[in-house]
Amino acid sequence: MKKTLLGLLVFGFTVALSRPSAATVWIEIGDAGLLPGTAQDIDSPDPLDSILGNLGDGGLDSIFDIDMFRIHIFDPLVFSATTIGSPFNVSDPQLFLFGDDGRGIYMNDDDESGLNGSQSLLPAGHPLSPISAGFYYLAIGWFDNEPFGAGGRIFEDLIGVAGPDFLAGGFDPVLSWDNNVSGRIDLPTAYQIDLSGAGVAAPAPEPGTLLLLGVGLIGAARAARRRNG
Amino acid sequence: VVRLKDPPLARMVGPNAKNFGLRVTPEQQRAYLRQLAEKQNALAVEIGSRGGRVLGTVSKALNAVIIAIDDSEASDLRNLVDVSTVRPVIDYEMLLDETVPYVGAAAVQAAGFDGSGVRVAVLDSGIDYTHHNLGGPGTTAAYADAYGANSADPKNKTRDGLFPTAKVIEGFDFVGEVWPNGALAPDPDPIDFQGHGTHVADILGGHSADGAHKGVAPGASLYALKVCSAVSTSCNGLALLQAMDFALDPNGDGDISDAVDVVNMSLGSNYGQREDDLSEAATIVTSFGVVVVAAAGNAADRPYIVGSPSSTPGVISVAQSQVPSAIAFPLRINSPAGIAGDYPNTETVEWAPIGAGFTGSVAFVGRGCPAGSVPGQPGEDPYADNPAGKVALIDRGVCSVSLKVDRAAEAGAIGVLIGLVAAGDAVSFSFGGGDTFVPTLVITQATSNLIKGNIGAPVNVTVSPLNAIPLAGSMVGSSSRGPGYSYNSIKPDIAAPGASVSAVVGTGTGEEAFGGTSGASPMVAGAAALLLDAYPSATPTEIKARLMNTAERNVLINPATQPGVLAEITRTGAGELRVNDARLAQAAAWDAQDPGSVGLSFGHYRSIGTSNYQRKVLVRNYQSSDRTFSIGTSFRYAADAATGAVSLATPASVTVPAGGSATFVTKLTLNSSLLPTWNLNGGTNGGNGALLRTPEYDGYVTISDGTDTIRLPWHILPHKAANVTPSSTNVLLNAGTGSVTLNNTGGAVAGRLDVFSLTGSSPQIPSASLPKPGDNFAIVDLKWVGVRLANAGAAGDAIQFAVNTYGARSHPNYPAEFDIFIDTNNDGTNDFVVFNAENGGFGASGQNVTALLNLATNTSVVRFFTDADLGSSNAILTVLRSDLGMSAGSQFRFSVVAFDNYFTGIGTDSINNMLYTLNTPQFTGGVAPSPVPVGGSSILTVNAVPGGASASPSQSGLLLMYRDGRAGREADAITVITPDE
Repeated sequence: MKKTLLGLLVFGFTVALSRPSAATVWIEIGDAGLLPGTAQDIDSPDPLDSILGNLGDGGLDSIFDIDMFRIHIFDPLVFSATTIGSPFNVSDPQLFLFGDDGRGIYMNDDDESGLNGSQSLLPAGHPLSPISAGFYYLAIGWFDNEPFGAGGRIFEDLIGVAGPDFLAGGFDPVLSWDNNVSGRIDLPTAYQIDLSGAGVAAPAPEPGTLLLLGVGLIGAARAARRRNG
Repeated sequence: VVRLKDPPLARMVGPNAKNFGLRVTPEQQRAYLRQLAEKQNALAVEIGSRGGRVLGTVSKALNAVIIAIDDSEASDLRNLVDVSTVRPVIDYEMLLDETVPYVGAAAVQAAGFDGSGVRVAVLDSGIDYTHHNLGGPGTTAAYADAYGANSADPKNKTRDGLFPTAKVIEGFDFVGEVWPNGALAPDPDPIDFQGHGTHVADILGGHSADGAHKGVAPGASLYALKVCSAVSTSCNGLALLQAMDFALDPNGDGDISDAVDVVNMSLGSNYGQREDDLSEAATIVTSFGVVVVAAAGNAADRPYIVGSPSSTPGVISVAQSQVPSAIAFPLRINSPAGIAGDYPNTETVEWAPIGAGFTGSVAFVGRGCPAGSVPGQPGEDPYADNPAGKVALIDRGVCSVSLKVDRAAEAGAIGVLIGLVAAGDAVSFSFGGGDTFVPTLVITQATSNLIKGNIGAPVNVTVSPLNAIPLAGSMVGSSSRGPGYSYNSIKPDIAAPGASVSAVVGTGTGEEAFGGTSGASPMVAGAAALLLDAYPSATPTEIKARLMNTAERNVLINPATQPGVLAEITRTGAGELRVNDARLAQAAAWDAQDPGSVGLSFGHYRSIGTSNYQRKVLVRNYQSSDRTFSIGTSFRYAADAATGAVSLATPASVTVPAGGSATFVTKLTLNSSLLPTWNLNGGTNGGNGALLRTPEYDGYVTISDGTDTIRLPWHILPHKAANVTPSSTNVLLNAGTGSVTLNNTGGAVAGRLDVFSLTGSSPQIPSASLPKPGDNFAIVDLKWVGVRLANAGAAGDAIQFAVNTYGARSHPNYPAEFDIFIDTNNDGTNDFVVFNAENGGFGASGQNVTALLNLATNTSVVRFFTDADLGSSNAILTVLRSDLGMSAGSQFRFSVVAFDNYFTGIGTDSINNMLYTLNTPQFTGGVAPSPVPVGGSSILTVNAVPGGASASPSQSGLLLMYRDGRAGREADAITVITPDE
């Protein structure tokens, strides 16, 4: 109940004051799950601008929760996701992107631009960025709650953008989270994720352009993953 | 306080809105306030229909209606659709021009930053705006024009054209002149009478019209928000919430873009807890962008006693350090040679200062009470020796110390030594009568006994300012200690001198020293105003970080009694205020996960094995070029580092872009096997803060480059723990006996345990029913209770009651009181109540004791400390069987009720009507070996007792109460199954 109320109110101000009328803000319904099987499908008819939600149910152990959403990335070239800081929001979030098969794509613990404090940014145009349009899983949690697959930790342990750790669980779908969150248990759990390139019914780019850029990114991403491995 | 579900306005306008702009227009704010008001009005009508009366409403810092209503109606209100919680109002206590340059404020002023344009709300007893130091006329006549002749004078209820002033630019009196001896009587004139607020205002922002007198931030404008009594040290909970609303919207137009910049509260409540509503309001106000500063409290060096609202993470909690001129006078014994030397553990008394001191032979006169000062004794205590021309040594006790000194001075003594009659540090004494005094020094019992033992020598002593020991840069003993109760966090956050000479109400120009953390808090609030003058867009976190990052670390406990020994971070916070360094810093750092806290609080753990914890640090670079900082870690005490139990790791450096920020992780590794043995408890040692130094680990993370060196304090409080775990929680008896193996696998310490008869259990209260921050109530949730007959030595048999709860308490004093109602003869009427309470009252000792109240005579007796640890879910309450008038063979009935003894005083859980016979339990248990060895095991042997089933029918098994148990392993219930079950 608490999360719905906050989400609606923030949504109201956001829409009224700063959003174009076509913008879509997804407000978490109930509590999104923490794995692909329980992730919340975002059924958005327009480009998805923001996701608003709360980790957990507002209880005192909510800082250990993960919220995962199934999103459609229609333009991988411009896809980005960033958390918005505020005293009322998670002050040190992490963002994770998984493929539709649950395998890790990239994650971020702290925007490296230096302009966004300890907020998180999955940047556009990064060598680890998604390559193709399609469905993905976007997850958010408190630092330092990390996903694990059958082979262990999925992502490298870095501050900044990190790719899969192929010496551990980097090849595996996410199965669990380590709940390694420290600090007082009543820290804020609200969040706002602003996105670009995501949604369902977005204008389709020119096919030729998509293909060419896609090939280039595939090469870049493979090179980066070899280095990471 | 009836809180409504809709959030208050300050939460609706956007985070740090004060710094970065409100996301809503004034009209939208007012529309929202109208929405809140409509619901509040509807609620008021409903409350009226139930016989209640609305005392006030708040909607900016909290959304609540404060009412008076019969208890029987209050609980039903929470079922109304818009109501969130219904809780009682909590009242608070006031914590009763050399310091300005000492903390660096004069240098900041000289640099052109005096707080001009910064507006500060002083929530206190009002302000004497006529005083010279606050820009007033500075005459007693002017005060009389403002206040009048007495509390009933209309002048103190109206502004009379004298208020506001250029310095005190607005305000309101939320309490009136008679509360708590009469009803609240708000009026628009916040003229001070009590005096506390005038001192605070002067220290913070004093500025005489002639410019000669300056407080820390002489350019700051003040709001006088009178929330504390004119006639006592109490502060009204309703008034405080209303004042927080006022601080957000001083002109009352419904648009909070005019919120003040800083709030100072030199007040608080010991053992501050997150459920406190004023703390929640402070959190919201801070999130909006207002810097909130509060006094840590004056309850001394006792674990967890630091008060709310200062205990709130985002609030700056201020401890008290000594003023620069403070000195200690050691007692110098000149002869005989065998005891000659300096004895520094002394205290002075304000009413008989040392002055030029004295030298002479000591005459021990005994107790020394004058005639008429001892109840039931018409004559004076006979003197054991004639003190004329000598130094009188007088035992403390029975009558006022000042009367003893007066008598000795009249008898010709040249000086007085007051000898304590119980162990402990020297303490000061307030004035209690008399008019003739000579220089007086209080000495410890040990020193006093030493003199008495050599009195025939004779003993020649000197007390002289020439031997005085400077106390600057050290703590004042009465300053409250952390860590914070709810989060085991670093609190206080910072220290500042707290006894500045400052304005005395109603005197026109009078000044006197004003002590306590009440005087320290406005030093820091004024410093915040100076920084906001220099950096107007800085957020509360940035202001707090600048202050903490640059604080002076070299703060001692007491140079006289413990030369060179540093004060712990849970006493001083980051260190002593140095505001000019804070202004000059071109970088700042804070905890990225919990920005409002700034410091790195790793918490409290009952720990086994090796554990890893981490805190992320955010570093801001305020310069216009990228910078690379080196990172280092250090321990405050070399002895802590030497144990090897705690180690820290950080990257060697961090590069921060121009005008931006970067983060790094500080990892702490805890090796429990190397920890010292836990030495604290909530009974005998419950108020002994000095003992915390052994298990606590603290220090600094240092971030430096060629321009700046800034530091963050870190802290962890580990408890070396056992891990006793039974092989089974059921035991089947065979031929009346059975056993269970107790393993201490991985335990860091041998597993001590106590075995009780298990007589009752209670299910866990759902988490949805537990309080959230600001809810103003606590839940004490019983899990298991037990009882046993014990041997109290020469005192005979004792009865012990064991209580285990869901959830632990940082200190057993609060918020849990366990009342055990005993019907000694099982006749249906309770005869006694056994209960636990803080020894001496709220915040008086830190020690928890067990009392026995005779319900027939309404008399009580206290014989034992409560056996309860810090950070524990266990408590064992002990009473003598003889005090209950029971035989060991008496079957008695008892019930255990858990009360919230901090917020509401109401019972929150109970286990009722257990029948038991002390010498005939159903089952007994013994453990061998005991304690359970580290990494080893013991056997719990269970035996049936003939006749126990009828004598003690409530017993279902055994309750094992573990000492030093790791989290979640403090107790086990062993169910005993007999073959015929």
